[in-house]
Amino acid sequence: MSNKDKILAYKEILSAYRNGDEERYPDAFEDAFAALESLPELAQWFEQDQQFDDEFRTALNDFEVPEQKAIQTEPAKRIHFPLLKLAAAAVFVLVLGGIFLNFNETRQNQRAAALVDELRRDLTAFAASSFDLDAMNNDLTVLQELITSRGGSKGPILKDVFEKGLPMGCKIVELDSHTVSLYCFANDQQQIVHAFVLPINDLNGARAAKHMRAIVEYTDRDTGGWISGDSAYMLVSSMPGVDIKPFLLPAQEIYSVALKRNSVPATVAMTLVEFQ
Amino acid sequence: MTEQIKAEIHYDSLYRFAVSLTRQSIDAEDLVHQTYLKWLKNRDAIRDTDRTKSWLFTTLHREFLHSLKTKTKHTLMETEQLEMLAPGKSPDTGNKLDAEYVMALMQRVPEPFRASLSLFYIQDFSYREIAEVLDVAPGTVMSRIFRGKQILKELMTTIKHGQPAESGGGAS
Repeated sequence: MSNKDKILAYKEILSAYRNGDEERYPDAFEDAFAALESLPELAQWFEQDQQFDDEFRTALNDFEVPEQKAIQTEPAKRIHFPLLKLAAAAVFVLVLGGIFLNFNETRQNQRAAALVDELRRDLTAFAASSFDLDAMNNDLTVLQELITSRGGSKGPILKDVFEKGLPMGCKIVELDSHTVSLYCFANDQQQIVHAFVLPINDLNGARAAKHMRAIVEYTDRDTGGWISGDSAYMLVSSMPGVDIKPFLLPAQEIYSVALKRNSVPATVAMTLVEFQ
Repeated sequence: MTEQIKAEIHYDSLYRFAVSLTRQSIDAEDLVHQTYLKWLKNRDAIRDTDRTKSWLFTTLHREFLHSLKTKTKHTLMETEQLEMLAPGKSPDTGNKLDAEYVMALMQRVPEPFRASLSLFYIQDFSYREIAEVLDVAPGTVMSRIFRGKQILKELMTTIKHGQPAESGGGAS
């Protein structure tokens, strides 16, 4: 094999290389990597190829994706005539009540926004204060049992949201009339992110969801949350500069879709759909 | 993680993979939808839930190949994507590549190179995982990625120098 052919063969192998592949498949890239030492032309090509990969991959993964559609498989049920009559009557009643409800809804939304804002301030103030945890443990199940035994919200989805976080401890926090559960997690940089959980009824129900999504900074700490089931979740940086986004954004994406889109999310639809 | 979450977190990547294959956002959405429906029907049979990702991508690719058989000719690219590849239209974004532009480029890469290249860039699949998804030999994937990149680079050079990129589904 000529030198030119060798280089071409190595290029073909190296072209498929991704970070970490040398550990997963040591045999596959061993020769090609060794050749990089002795063939400067190949080394230069490889460097440029890796740079091209990085740029292309970044750009391609920025390609905009439309919101997920709820997956439904069951055909729409036929509405029978008596049902239509009932529906017409219901529409009439709804129209009459609409004006009142609309007015009431606006007021309720304003109240939810105010409550969320107040909650953010209270929680960051608490995070900035000095406090002791009720328990320290790296087992989330143990922490959740302790919290629920003391009347706090369990936060059932925390296990999924903080899959890459290490549980550190928990505490029941009394804020005005709210009983708030606090779970502390360490991220991969050993920084602590606080996860506060409370019943959504304390925040005027699910209306609070849209006011919780934005990341808002109070006293140099980031706050942001979502709603899932009967619980509202608010993440707060334990210290200035601690990033909550790696946990917050995926959680919002998965758990707040229904409220963001005003429709049933695929997750829920998947759960609801039944197959014969 | 629950099974639903495991499946849903791949939605964005599946959609991008589907767009690169179908060249049409509507077809891509249908393809992803179809894939999730299949997953819903078969998820009880997928014993190893860690394989959800590769199962979804394998199924989407198979669905795409199946859809090709039922069509008489390749789907044309969407107008906006064609415009992205008009002569001299490479986006002026400094050194950064633009998402619409690179997707339009990717869609111009002919099969069988495109599927390997899409998986290589869109998901964090290794070449062996790509081989599994596409049901080809690992060596074939290496060749296709290499050749696919060459085509991409040629396309970029062609567009930069003001020569039109062909539309439609023909090979470059």
